[in-house]
Amino acid sequence: MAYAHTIEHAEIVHRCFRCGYCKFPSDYVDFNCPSYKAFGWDTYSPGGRMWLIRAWLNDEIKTSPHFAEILYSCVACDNCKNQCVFPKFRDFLPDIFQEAKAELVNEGRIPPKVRDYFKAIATNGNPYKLPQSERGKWAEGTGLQPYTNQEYLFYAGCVGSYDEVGQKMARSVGKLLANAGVSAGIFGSEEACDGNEVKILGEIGLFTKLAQENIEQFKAKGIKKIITLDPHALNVFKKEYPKLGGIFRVFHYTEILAGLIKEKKLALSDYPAKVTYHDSCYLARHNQIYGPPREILKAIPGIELVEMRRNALNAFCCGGGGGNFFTDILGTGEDSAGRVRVREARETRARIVAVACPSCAKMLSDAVKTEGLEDTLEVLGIAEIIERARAK
Amino acid sequence: MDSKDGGFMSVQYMKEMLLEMPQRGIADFADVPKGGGFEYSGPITILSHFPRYAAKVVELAAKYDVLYASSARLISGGHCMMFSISFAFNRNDPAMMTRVKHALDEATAFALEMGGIPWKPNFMEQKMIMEKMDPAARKLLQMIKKNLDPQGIMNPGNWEVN
Ligand code: SF4
Ligand code: SF4
Repeated sequence: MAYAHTIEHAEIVHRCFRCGYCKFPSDYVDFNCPSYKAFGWDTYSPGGRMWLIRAWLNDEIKTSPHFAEILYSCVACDNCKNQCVFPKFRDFLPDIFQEAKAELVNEGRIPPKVRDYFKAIATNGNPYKLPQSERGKWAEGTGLQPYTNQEYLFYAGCVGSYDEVGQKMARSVGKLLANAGVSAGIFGSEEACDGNEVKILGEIGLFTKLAQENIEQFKAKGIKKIITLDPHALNVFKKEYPKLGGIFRVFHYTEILAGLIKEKKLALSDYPAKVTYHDSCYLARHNQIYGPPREILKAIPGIELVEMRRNALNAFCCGGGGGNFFTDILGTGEDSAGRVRVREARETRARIVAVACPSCAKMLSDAVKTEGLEDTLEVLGIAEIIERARAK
Repeated sequence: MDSKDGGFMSVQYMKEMLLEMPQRGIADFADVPKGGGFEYSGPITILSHFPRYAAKVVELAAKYDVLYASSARLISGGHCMMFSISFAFNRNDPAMMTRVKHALDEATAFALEMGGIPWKPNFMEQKMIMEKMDPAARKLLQMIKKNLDPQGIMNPGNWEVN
């Protein structure tokens, strides 16, 4: 069949039956697609999006700002990939959404916020439009040294390097790694954007350039192992870089810290608190890392870990994936992902929401303020909680 | 039937499947022709007609070269049944979609011939029911519709008796 637009998986888009299972968690307790939850129209659900893409491929509907907004409201949380009824076919849902966005990029018909994001990355090397020279400032006082043949590269990423909440998280992790004597170094002002969001948002040319430059740099410096602060970076290093010849052993910092605790290289004292853990989509659903953050929390004496109604494979996204952290297409309305998630966290009566991703930390911290929960709920990175347990 | 629970055929595994909330198995059928679709008709009919309905579905599937699925659901204590007739199709294959439409129209014509009443009838089924309807009953429907909804704003397109 000849289509008006081209995407790699065009030949299977019609298989979506629009039965709608993809927008739920496996027990159907609520809507688990953040974009559907926020807007409430079927076109914003995974199945609706599939039918819309098919109509667009067939030229039954034209590219429009509204169509682009619908596509860019997907936060790439991967819930649909796990919940769609059709095995195998469902594995391609996120690819189809990403390919449709890439086609919009090719046509030059993307939302202004997405265009601004690409421009900032291409011009400044980061979405914050801040100087490259400031990229490593977060590490001052942590004890982490510039990379010179250490065992690991500690990669902070754009959010960890420039965002205030992200920097706090990066500093805590950095200090713990240094204190435990882990042989890790940072690139500082030489670090570049990993490109995960650039790829998801569909700018394949820019992504390839970023990835190839990073791979060359990693290889030139003899990097074999990487610890990432950001699960988004972990995702792209593990899944996309190997396709471009960049094969490294990649770990999330919670995996390393869990190991250090097990080996008794990080002494922990009592920290009495009721804590719930929010799974980052890129750590959990995308990369099946569910255990280490929970193991760390359980290892801290005094912490009572309580799970939210939706957790692990069924966790509800904070809304920070798929570039929405920067483009904010989901908005901050009552049913926006972050706000829904902190209300769910509140239901557990926990006073701390533990997070393992700087984007989740920022999204949920903002949502706590919007919901007026500052006095009852605190959002903390796993390493920040460990630091509190070591402060005594 | 003995339990009088208004349930499904007394095939236990099927009962469990049909009572699953929601029924994911139904969606599976749509993917058999790789696919994305099936069309469905579910006439309410008398129980003793079961063998003839079952034979008709098989006959239509062969005639139109389409895939079928069917089941019977007992209504209440078993005074009648809803016999479901489904044909799956590939949304990327317009010829197959046309064959399914014809197969389903013929299934509806058969059900009406046998005295069945389509459940949640689609547009074509409504049209066929109205054509078969007693003229006095059709006139009564027309009169009610005209008086209650003179502007034609209530559920337009459904049961359009004109
Ligand atoms: S994506 Fe899968 S679960 Fe969702 S509507 Fe389509 S076929 Fe159904
Ligand atoms: S990836 Fe997440 S946000 Fe995107 S369509 Fe699937 S469930 Fe919705």
